[in-house]
Formats: sequence, C-alpha cells, structure tokens
Amino acid sequence: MKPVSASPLSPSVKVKLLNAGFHTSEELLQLKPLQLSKEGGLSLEEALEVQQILSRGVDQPGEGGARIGLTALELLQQEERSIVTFCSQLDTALGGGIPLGRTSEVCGTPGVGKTQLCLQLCIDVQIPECFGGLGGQAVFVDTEGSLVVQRVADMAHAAVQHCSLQDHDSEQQEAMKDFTTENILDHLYLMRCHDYVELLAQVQLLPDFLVRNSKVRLLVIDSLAFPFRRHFEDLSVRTRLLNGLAQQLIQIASQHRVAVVWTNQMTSQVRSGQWELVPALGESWGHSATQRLLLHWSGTQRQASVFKSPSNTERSVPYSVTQHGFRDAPHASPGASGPPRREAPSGGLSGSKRPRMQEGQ
Amino acid sequence: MASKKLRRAGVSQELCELLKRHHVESCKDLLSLTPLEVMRVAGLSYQNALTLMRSVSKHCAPPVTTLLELWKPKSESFFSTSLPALDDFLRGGLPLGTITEVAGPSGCGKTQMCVMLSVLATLPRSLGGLDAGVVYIDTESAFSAERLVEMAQARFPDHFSSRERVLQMAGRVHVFRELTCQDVLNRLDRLEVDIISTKAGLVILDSVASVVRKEFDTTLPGNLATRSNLLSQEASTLKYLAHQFNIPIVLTNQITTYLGNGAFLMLNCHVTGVATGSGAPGEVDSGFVTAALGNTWSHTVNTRLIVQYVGARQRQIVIAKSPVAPYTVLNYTIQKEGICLDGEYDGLLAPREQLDPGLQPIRVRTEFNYNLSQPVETDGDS
Amino acid sequence: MVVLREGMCPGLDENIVRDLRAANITTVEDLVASDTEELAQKCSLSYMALLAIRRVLLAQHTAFPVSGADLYEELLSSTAIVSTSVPSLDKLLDSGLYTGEITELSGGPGTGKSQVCFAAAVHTAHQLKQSVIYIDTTGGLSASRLLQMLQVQTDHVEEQMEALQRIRVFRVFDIFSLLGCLHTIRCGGLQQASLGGGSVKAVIVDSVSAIISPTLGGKQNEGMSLMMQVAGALKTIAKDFNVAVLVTNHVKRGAGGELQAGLGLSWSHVPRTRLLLERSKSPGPLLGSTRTATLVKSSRQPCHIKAEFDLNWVSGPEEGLLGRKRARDSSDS
Repeated sequence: MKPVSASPLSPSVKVKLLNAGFHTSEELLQLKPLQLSKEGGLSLEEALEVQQILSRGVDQPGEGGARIGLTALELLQQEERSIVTFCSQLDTALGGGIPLGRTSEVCGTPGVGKTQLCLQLCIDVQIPECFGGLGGQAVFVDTEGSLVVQRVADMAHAAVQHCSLQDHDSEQQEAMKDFTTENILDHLYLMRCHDYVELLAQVQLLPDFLVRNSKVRLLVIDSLAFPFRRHFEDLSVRTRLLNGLAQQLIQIASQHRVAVVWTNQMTSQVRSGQWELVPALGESWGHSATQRLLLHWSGTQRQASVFKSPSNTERSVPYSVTQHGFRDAPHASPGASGPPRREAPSGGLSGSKRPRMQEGQ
Repeated sequence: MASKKLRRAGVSQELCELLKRHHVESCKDLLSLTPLEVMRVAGLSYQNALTLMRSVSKHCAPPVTTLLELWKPKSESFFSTSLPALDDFLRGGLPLGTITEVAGPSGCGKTQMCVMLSVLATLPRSLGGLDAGVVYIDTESAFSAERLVEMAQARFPDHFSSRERVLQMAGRVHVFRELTCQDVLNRLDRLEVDIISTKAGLVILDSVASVVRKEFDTTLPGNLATRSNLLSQEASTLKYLAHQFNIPIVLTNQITTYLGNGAFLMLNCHVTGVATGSGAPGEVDSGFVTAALGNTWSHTVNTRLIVQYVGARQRQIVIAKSPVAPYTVLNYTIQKEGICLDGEYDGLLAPREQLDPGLQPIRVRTEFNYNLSQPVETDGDS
Repeated sequence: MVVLREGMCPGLDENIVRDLRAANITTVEDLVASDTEELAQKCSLSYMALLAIRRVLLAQHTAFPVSGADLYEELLSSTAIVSTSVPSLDKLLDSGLYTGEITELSGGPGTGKSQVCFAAAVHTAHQLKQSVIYIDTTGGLSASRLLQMLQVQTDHVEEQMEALQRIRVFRVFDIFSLLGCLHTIRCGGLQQASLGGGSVKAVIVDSVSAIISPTLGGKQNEGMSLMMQVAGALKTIAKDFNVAVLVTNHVKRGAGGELQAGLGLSWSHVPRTRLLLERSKSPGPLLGSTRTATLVKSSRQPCHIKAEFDLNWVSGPEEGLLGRKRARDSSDS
C-alpha cells in the first residue's frame, strides 16, 4: 500500500488525485487510464504518465541492488580499491589511499598543497594494473583556474620514471609503453567552470559522461568552495544547492565506482572569543564528504590530518610537496641536525626564526 | 553562459511561459532550484524534472578537454619575467591564463615590477615577449611614463635604439587611472572590451588593495562583508578574463601588520594551527606582517610573489604560493633597468627538492618576517 | 478518504456505487458521515443493505481501542532492547535501543554517529544473531570497517561472515528512492532480509538528514510533506514489525551558538529518544577519540544527562591505543 503522497508525481497531479480520494498507488493502478482520467480529473496523457511512473516503482526492483539491498558480506567482497597518494604515511593513515566509491574532502589554507594532492591523484589513478594501480582515467573540474598543464606534465613524467624503474617482467614492460606523459595527459579530462551554475550543470551531466567514459575512476573538483563563496544574497539557497550537490556527488561515487575528491577553503571564525580557522561553507557542510582531510602547517612541516572517516582512526601525518609531486616528508626531522643548508641572507630573518624552530620541536 | 535564456536552451515555448510566471527565465534561475522546486514550478514529475534539468545543463556546461590538448610548449603557456632564476622556478615565467599577485611593503618595487612586465609584454616574441598590448590599471597614480621609457632603454638597449620603437612600445601600454572602488569596478566591467581593442596580452592592476582598504574601514560592522563581496566580484571577473583570453593578470597587494590579539585584523587572519590543535604555543607572535585583504583573497590568486626588504638596497622576492614552484627566496636589487636578480643564482640553480627548513622560518607561507625598524627607501627611482 | 468502489465489501455493487455517487457520496467517509435512512430514501436503496455496507466499511476502516493493560501486556511480551554495544551510551538510553521506537543520533561531522551505527549493527548481527537493515544515504558504510569490528569480537571467520550476511545494506541517494526503499521493506523486504537467519531487529538510516535537508525550503512545500512521509514510514516499520529504528541527523547552531539537531521542529517530534554527540573538549591533541553524548529527548530518563565514550573502544582497545599513540607521535614531530 504505497501512499500517493510519497510518489514522485508532479505536485499538481498529486493534489488532483488526493482530492479525488486516491490514497495508494494500488488504487490508481487498478483503473484503466480512461477511468483514471475521468475520476481523477486528469488529461489522458497525465493519467497514462501517472500509471507508468507508479508501475515502475512497484514492478521493477529498481536499478541494481538499490531495492533489494546487498548484504554487508557482498559489499565487503566488492569493497573498492584505493588510489595511492605517493605519500606512504598518508596512505597508511587512509587505509591504502583515497577509496573508490566514496567522497573525500581536502581542506587547507592557500598554498598548502591541496591542488598538488589532487593532481597527484589524477596521475596515480592511471598507473597500470600490473604495477598495482587502477589503470583508470580522471576528470578534473577546475573552478579556480589554478591548473597548470606544465606542472601536471612534470608530475606525470616523475610518475612514469618511478614506474619504469620497477618494470621487471614483460607484462610490466608492455604496460610501460602506454604509460607515458602524453597518455596520462590525454586521459585527464578537464572541465573549467567559471561559476556555480556551470559547476551545477557539469555535475548534472557527469553521470552521462561517466557512462561514456567508463574507465574514469577519479573525479576531482578543485575547488568546490570557490564558486559558492560569493554571489549569494540568500544563504539558504546556497545551503540547499550545496546539500543537493553533495548528494549528487555521493551518488556518482557510489554508482560509477569513482573516487570523488573535492577541495574546500578555510575561513576564519570567532568561537569562544578566539579566532580560529575552520573549513568554509558552514558547519553542516562538514557532513557531506565521507572522509575529510585537513592539510595544514605545523611549524615548518606540512601535515595532513584525517579528520573524519568511517573506517580509519583520526591521525596526523607529515608530507611534503616536491618538484615531482606529492611525497613523503623527508625522514630527518626538520631542522634537527646541523645548520640550515642555505642561510637566509638577512640577519633580521634568521635572528627571529631560530627560537621559533626550537619551539616547534 | 549561465544567464542564457531558457528558450535558447531548447525548452519548449509552453514550458518557458509557465516557468516565466515563477520568475524562472534563465538557465541560472532553473539550475538554482532543487528538483522538488522544479517539479512544482514546471508541474512535472520527478523523472521529467530531472530530465529537464539535464537538458538545460547541456546548454550551459562548459566543454570538456583533455590536458593533452592544452599541453603546449613552455613559451606558449608562460610569460617570461626575463629574470632567469625566477623563470626557472616558475617553470618558464608567469603562467598564462592565471592571476599572479605581487605583495610587499611600499617602495619595495611592486610598481617597478609592473612597469618592467609592461615593457616585456610589448617585446616581439623573438625576445621573449608577448608582442601584445598592455592594459595597466593604476589606482595609486604611481605609474610613470618616463620610468617606462628609461627602463625599456636600459634593459634592451639594442632593441630600443630607435626613438620610433620606443614610442611604439609606449603606445602599446594603455594606462587607466582609476582612483575609487566604483571606478575600478566599472573599468573591470569594460575590461573585456579594452582587452580586445588594445590587443592586450597582459593586464596589470596596481594595486588591488589600495582603493578597497582606503574606502572600507573593516573595523566598522558590515564593511567587511561588503569588502569581501567586492573583492570576490573583482576576482571572478579577472579570473574569467584571464582564462578566456589566456593572458596573465598581475595584481599588486599591500601588506598589513598582524598584531596577534585578533581584535584588529578581521580577515587578515593569522593562519595558526588552532583548527587542528597541533600548532606549537607561542607562534602567535606580535608584529609580523602579511599580505593584505585576508585569507579568502589569498585563495583567489594563483601565484603569489612577495617582495620584501633585506637591507638598504637589497631586497628579496619570495615565491609564496605557486602551483608549480616550491617556496623560494631570491635576492634582487632595483637598478636603472628594473629588477635585477643577484648574480649568485645564475640560472644554473636547480630547484631544491625539499623545502629548506632554514629558509622557512614562518609557519604559513602568507606570512613573512619584516623588520619594522628598517628604513623605507625609494632608491628604486634613481 | 477512501473512494467507494464496487467489490470493496459484499453488497457494494456497481449500481449502488453509481447511485451513491449521484447522491454526492463518493468516499467511505461521506457514507459513514451521512444519515443512512435519508440516504436510503434519496438513492432508493434498501435501508438494510446500506446499513450492512456501512457496518462492514466501518469495521474495515476504524481504529480499535486498546486498553492500557493489554498494551502493557503486549509491550512486555514483544519489546526487546537492542544494545548499542557502547556501555555508556546504553546507560543513557536506559539499556539500549527499544524496538518499536525511533532513536536518533545527532552530531557534527566526525563525532562518531556512523561508528555507533556500525557498532549497533555488528552487535545485533553477531551477538544477538538477528538481522539488520542498514540504509546508507551518504556512502559512508564501510564493510571493511564492519569486518574490523567483528574481528575484535570473534576469531572465527565463519562467524564473521555469517554476521556480515545478516546486515542488509540499501544505498539510496534521493528522497523518492528512500521512500520506495522503506515501502519495499514494509511489504516483504523484512522477510527477504531475514533469510540470512534471525528476524530483523534493527533498521538503521545513516543519515536521514543528508537526504531530507536538500528537499526542504525554497519555492515549494512538498519537501515537508515528504519528510513526514519518511517519518510515518519509519514509525510504521518500527511498530508493525517491532524493530528498533536508529537514524542519524546533523546539527546546526542556534541563535545563541548552542548545538541543535537539524531538520527543524517538525522532525524533532519524530524520534522518541534523541542523543547529541560532540567531540570532548580535551586539553590534549584535537584528534582525540573521546566523544560526549547528551540525552536531549527521552521518555524514560531525565534529559541532559551526559556520558563519555571512546570511539576506539568501539573498534577494540588494542587498535585504539596504537592509533592514538601514532597520532601523538606524528603531531609531535
């Protein structure tokens, strides 16, 4: 006995049906379209549509396992693989990397390395399967215009070099032939969105795009926050759009087996009389991503903190951004041994930095 | 594309009329609604509402490209600064299609940098220039045509040997003096036209901070929000144009003192590790200086260069944020021919693999130490 | 308001329906409310036939009064309490999740709502050997995490697998799919789900706010009605099948900066019991694993009592210690 008011019919049709005394979809489906149109005061087309929509809901169990559900065991068997970050400590903290089929948010201050991490993932997702990679492709939605192709090419080159040092068997050598900088760039789709409407439109179309390009395993939005941080006189509209967007992205992640990663900015806020830096877009936005990664500076060291995650404990790990991309932090604890390699050419500078570094340790 | 009328996005006449009654006329209006709202205003079922939204999306979603299609030789995606070491670190110069900010204390050479870049942009491609015009928006009345000519002749004596060439160069630099926020905004609105008509290959806004900081006292309530709105409006216009025309946009920014008590600087926030709790105590030092206009603004710029004093003549360029370069400090002086890097980085220096902790005394890249007792000299104009 | 139709009850044939309709009687309600004698005259029908129809329809469509004693009896015989497996939370909830009721966990991001849901699901599936329906709307369910929790409780791989089989997961991402899913559960889904052994004792929706909040507000009020449909469906499932329903909700800040559960006033009447989860304010590193739970609404316990619990306890003490140690090491370096 499915109630009519819970069905996805157009509101005006629903009102007509309810007024005519129809409460459950069974009642509606018992009738012939002609009868329904007469009794419900609908046009014939409307009556037919109503029956089509409702019978779709009753007869077919819905797409895939959505209606019957899966057992957790089946879910475990198809539990998705992860994209490595090339920072082994971060991979460990994340339980293997950025997981497919889920959403992840990367927050951080300007220049801390959010875009670098995203680009690294775009390259890593393409590592051939015989190297333990996913052999996938990536989509990069750029809203800030901070993507520099040359930088991606450099990072891709470094990744190719890294893999070519490890090609031992013939299969791997074969795979290396296709794993080139050119191919990496060719399998990285760029969508440049200038405002939130373009972003929303793009996300609407992404499911179709992912069906056409079924090898895509990673969707990056860098940054999600930028287009939503202005142009909104009515903040409730923004909240509504963002909530809907998050739900769409979660759906994309889960139905197309892609990892969805987006970046968020930081904003300052007064809480209990103290200024502190919190991720932008408001508190309830924090729920949207399945896991949340916070990139920040700790002294002279960059650190990544797993802040919210259903499957991992929260922890912080150091990382660094080098010429080659996103990497592990060097082993030596920073500034611990010996004098700095190159002295900053200013007495004033070095004078004030030493005590700070000691504090940091 | 977002303001495209629905009728032009393949929506039937009938539906357009219906939507218009609910003030939904453009793609933007429609896509700003939730599916439930679309069901209501268009009288559609859930499925059909989604289909409508998707078909409208097709008309305003930007096209998809692969990076390979965009991958061009270095010279076509970067604008050389003619400073070899800086170019090296920036992988070839200022990236085209993005926003570069030069921040620093007054008299440190921000305007010198802008003037120098103006000269460079007009040079023929064979000399590393863009062979294009320049739109120079001057909000501080700091631009000097004499200095432009002087710098051009000193820097490229061979090329600018004839008076004709100098005049031609000067003629390609279009200076707009805009002294209030409203004027700047109006200018930015017309910038698209200006760029086309002057065949500009470089846009300079010197400085983005001075007018807004002059007109908005952020200690007054409400002003902060207005200022942020204004800035983000400017930023999005500039970003859009940079990308569409694939030209570099250079902005200059002022600095601000952070006093450490949090009361004075609203947006110019000290980015401590408070949010993560891992920051060491005592890092909220008093009296250091950071780029103005706040944290949100910092997200806007793609590359941030900081210029700062070291000694009486000696200055430094710090690459504080860049999608390609690591954190780097380069020494320079201001000469007759503009900005000159010190000889010790003779273009041979390979970018360091790792951040040298000795060079990074600061916790956050947007900060830097600045000795307030340093005399402010203007020997750059000598 | 149910439309009168032929064959609804014996004696109600096509002619009578037509006659009644001519007299402007189209629904059961109309029929019951009208004066039978007058109606019989107006439609020239037999008074007795009409009375019989009326009686049958009344029987079909009324609610039955139940005495308090019967209710109590039923309560004793049927109510079960499903433990969350977190002792301090169980204490707050007066020993656990009650079947036939909706319990809500609200809290900010990363406050452990999903973890508690996982723990309750694992506990029901493993210790109680009963089935669980888990409706995941945020893609946050991690089967490997469930396995991890099971591994702490038992070493037998077979038992782990059996327990996992008892947890049936539905993934839905919009309100209509959620309603459809709840509907399927109501007519038959429960039996299907219980094939893995044991009957369904818990239905978990994580999170209910993720699906509902995008539908609220704006130029429509459909969303509100759909939200109440969800609430109604959950309540029916809880009552009719006598299962414990656990939902999660987000929080927002009220005018005074205090935390409030999301989805507004109308929803706040839906759950019988409501817990608010927060990160504990500890002097140590922020990435601590202790959480504070506050009882915000309850019909059994005094409100605003608090309890602390450790997320690592949920995953097993050893792993927790290790994790915490590592976190400290890295934040110190």
